[in-house]
Amino acid sequence: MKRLSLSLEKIERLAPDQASLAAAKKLLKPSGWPTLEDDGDGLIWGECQGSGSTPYRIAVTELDAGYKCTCPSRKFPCKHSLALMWMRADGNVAFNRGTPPQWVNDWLGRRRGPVAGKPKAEDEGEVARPSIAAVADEEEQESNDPAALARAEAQRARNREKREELVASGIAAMDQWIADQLERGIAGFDQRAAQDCATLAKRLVDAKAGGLANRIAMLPAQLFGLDEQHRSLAAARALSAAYLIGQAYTRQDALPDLLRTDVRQAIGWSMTREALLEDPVALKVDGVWRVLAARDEVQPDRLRRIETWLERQSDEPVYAVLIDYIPVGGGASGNMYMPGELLDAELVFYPSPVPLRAQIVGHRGTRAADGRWQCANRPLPSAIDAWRRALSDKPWLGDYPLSASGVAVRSAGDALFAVSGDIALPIAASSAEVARPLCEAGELAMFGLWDGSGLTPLLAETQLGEWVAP
Amino acid sequence: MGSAVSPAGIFDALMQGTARRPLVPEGVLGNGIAPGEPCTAPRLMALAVLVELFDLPTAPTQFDDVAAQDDRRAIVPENVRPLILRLVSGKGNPSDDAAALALALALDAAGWRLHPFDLPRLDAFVRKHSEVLGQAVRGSTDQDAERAGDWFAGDSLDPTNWTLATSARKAAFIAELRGSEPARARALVEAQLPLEKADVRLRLIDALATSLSGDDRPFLESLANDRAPTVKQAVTRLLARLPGTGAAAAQIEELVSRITEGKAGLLRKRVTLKLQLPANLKGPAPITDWLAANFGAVSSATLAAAFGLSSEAMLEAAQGDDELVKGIAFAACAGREWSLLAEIARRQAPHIWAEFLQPGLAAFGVVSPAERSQWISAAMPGAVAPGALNSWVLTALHEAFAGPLPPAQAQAIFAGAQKASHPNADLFAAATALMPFELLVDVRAALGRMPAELGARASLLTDILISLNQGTAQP
Repeated sequence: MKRLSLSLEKIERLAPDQASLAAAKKLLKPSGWPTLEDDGDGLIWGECQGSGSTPYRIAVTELDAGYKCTCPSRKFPCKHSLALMWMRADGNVAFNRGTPPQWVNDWLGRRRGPVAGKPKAEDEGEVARPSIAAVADEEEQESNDPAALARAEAQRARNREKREELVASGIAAMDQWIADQLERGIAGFDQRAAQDCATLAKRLVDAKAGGLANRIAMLPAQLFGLDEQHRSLAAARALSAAYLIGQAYTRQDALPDLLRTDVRQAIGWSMTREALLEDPVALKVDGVWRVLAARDEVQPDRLRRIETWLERQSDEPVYAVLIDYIPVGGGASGNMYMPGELLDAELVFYPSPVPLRAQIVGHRGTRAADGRWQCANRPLPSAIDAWRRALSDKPWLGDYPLSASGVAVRSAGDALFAVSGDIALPIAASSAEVARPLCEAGELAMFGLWDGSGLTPLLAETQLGEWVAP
Repeated sequence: MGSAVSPAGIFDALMQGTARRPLVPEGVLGNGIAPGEPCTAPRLMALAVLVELFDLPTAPTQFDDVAAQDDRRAIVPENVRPLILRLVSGKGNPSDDAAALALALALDAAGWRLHPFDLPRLDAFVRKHSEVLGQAVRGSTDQDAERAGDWFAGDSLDPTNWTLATSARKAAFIAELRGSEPARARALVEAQLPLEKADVRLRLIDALATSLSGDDRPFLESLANDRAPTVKQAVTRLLARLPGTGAAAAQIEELVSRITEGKAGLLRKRVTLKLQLPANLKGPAPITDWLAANFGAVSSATLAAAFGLSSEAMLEAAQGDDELVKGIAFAACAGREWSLLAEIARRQAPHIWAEFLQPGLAAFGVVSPAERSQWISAAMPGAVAPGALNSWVLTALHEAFAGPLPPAQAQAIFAGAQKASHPNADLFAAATALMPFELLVDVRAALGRMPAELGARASLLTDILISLNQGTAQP
């Protein structure tokens, strides 16, 4: 597979701020780079002479725009990493072909997530390099004492049990809080939501139910993003979803395995990437995935949530979403796949009756798609039927990927609708302004996220060309 | 209350609060809750929400009519779209500088329209240049915007549709029609004027300066009491230019009263003229405005005749009085005495072109592209000193000229910018914006030799302009 080279657009998205790009631009002269090399397989590295005596060392994987620099900058990526990517993207500077030096191999060994390729040294069995896995092995040997292991396991079990109790108490408190809200009436809920939700969210955080806490904490902002007339119903939906999650959790022993795992994640029990990869029954899907959309939002816990929506094109499309969380202010990061790229990879899905969230198991490369997105020939009613089935399987479903052909976007006053036959799905108010040009695009194929009340269009193939949500 | 048996009924109760309106669950949602299960308000709410979710939201009874696509312009080429977005959208890419104006004018001249999908990101640019881009371009964003007029190709306006165009196009159409059929143009303006806002009225009145004659006098006199002061001033200015009118005589009399005639020289006595400005004028801007309003209302020949001199002799006599020379330049422009203006620019005031930018060319009735070319050729006959150039002046020149300069003047400007002691990116962007198409390739090469921080924006602009010119806009 042809590997995707870095693009200027991608670099712009990676840059934490404009000043970083400006600073990077000043480093584009090859004379300031004693070393500029690549391995011919998507790995580039260089040394940039800074103000000190020792040049900074920078390595970048073109495949997923991973980067490492030895400079002390708190910006990620720093200007040196950006400059190296930039020179590569520009193609005006020659990179010498070489074997990755040890410091590059060290970095590759420490990296988590997909990499462009394993270090050559390891591939060829030449030099053993340090790695986290090797360190873990050593620690494991040191702690092979059976008694210590039993003590640790017993402690973990006590911790789990204690957390279960805390979560149960948190859910009970939430149920009482919801009942109190309903007693007072949800017509005025939006006016008291900011204070009341913050109080409950803190209580849920104390109860180690972080997933529920985030749902509740985000509710006021979600409500205030809506017209006043729609807030009460939206509040009812959100409270209902929280209530259902709480109820399902209290009865988790009676639930099917997938639903139980899903509800535990919704509560806040995290599943590590390692645990997911080791799960023998986890759904794995291999193929070429098209990046349909990437979107991000800042959560109340000051983490930026980056969603990358993928579609494996086949007779019946399979959808997946990669979700990354990065600290706000840490600059753009995460996978940073761009709409229009093709990702050749195997994905593993988090257990759920409606599997959507996934992790990359193995990654064989990325390239730009040859053509535009082709929506499977699926009319809107069929897409809605699929959503209804998913909602039946998981009543707190939330955003669901919906793609349909033969849709027209029409306006009724300020509101927009995705229309096909008798069905008219309201387009989310937050997307109305950017989606309005679709009104003059005629019949189109669309991909978006449907939550039962609003459709957020993310991609459309139209007579006027491809439309990508900004 | 025991009738809450439907989702709507449940929601009604939940809205008001179960304390005021208790929910009685018998029969609620069929068998949604099994016998013996607690029927709490949250359970009923969850059930009602799920029922409501499975029933899709109600569709509106009526959708808006899809506006017929009456803009027949071709959409900009696909390869130019990202360049345009990079030039005039996003942080640090102004939508109101000379480069942005050059883009708008180039789109207008070649008959391109922006891609509808780009309009949300280009909203600031579209709003700023709606006069040039036309209302059709604003189609998706003009729900609450003022109507800016439709876009028409320059040669597609006629007496039946000119009122629908943008105000700049209206004025240009009237000015052009005045060249061939002055009476008909006047009649069109007469019919349309009561329907227009003050700024458009001003443009149309200024357009009447072309082929101004005594036949216009009754119409102009009927406008002397227009409610907009700017329009009244424009009418007075035009009336003053009509020979034989009281306003013209009064204007000449006013100027003559402020110009002192004297003699200088020991062996050969020569006439000297000195201008005495009104005492209440403080600062260069009010002085320029006063000179434009007063000298721009007379022709230089008429003024010279009042002193019994030829125009050239009057200029000679004014030597040394910069303000009077400036005033004579304004009068030369108003009287279309281009050779006199060129003489002033060559011999006495090489930067005289910049003095016209504050009042604007329309204040002298220079509205049509042909007259604008005559003006710049006369006012900028040779090289331009680097000290006279900055991005603000060039942007003002661009706005006044409403398009690229003739090659000679464009080259002079770019050469001056290259020699500037403190060159900057804005200066080169503004200079590049004035380049005609035939110079763009050379300019791009010159920009490529500059440091990126100086030439990047200008270079991007040249790429766009070249692409737009090379592409063929086909409706």
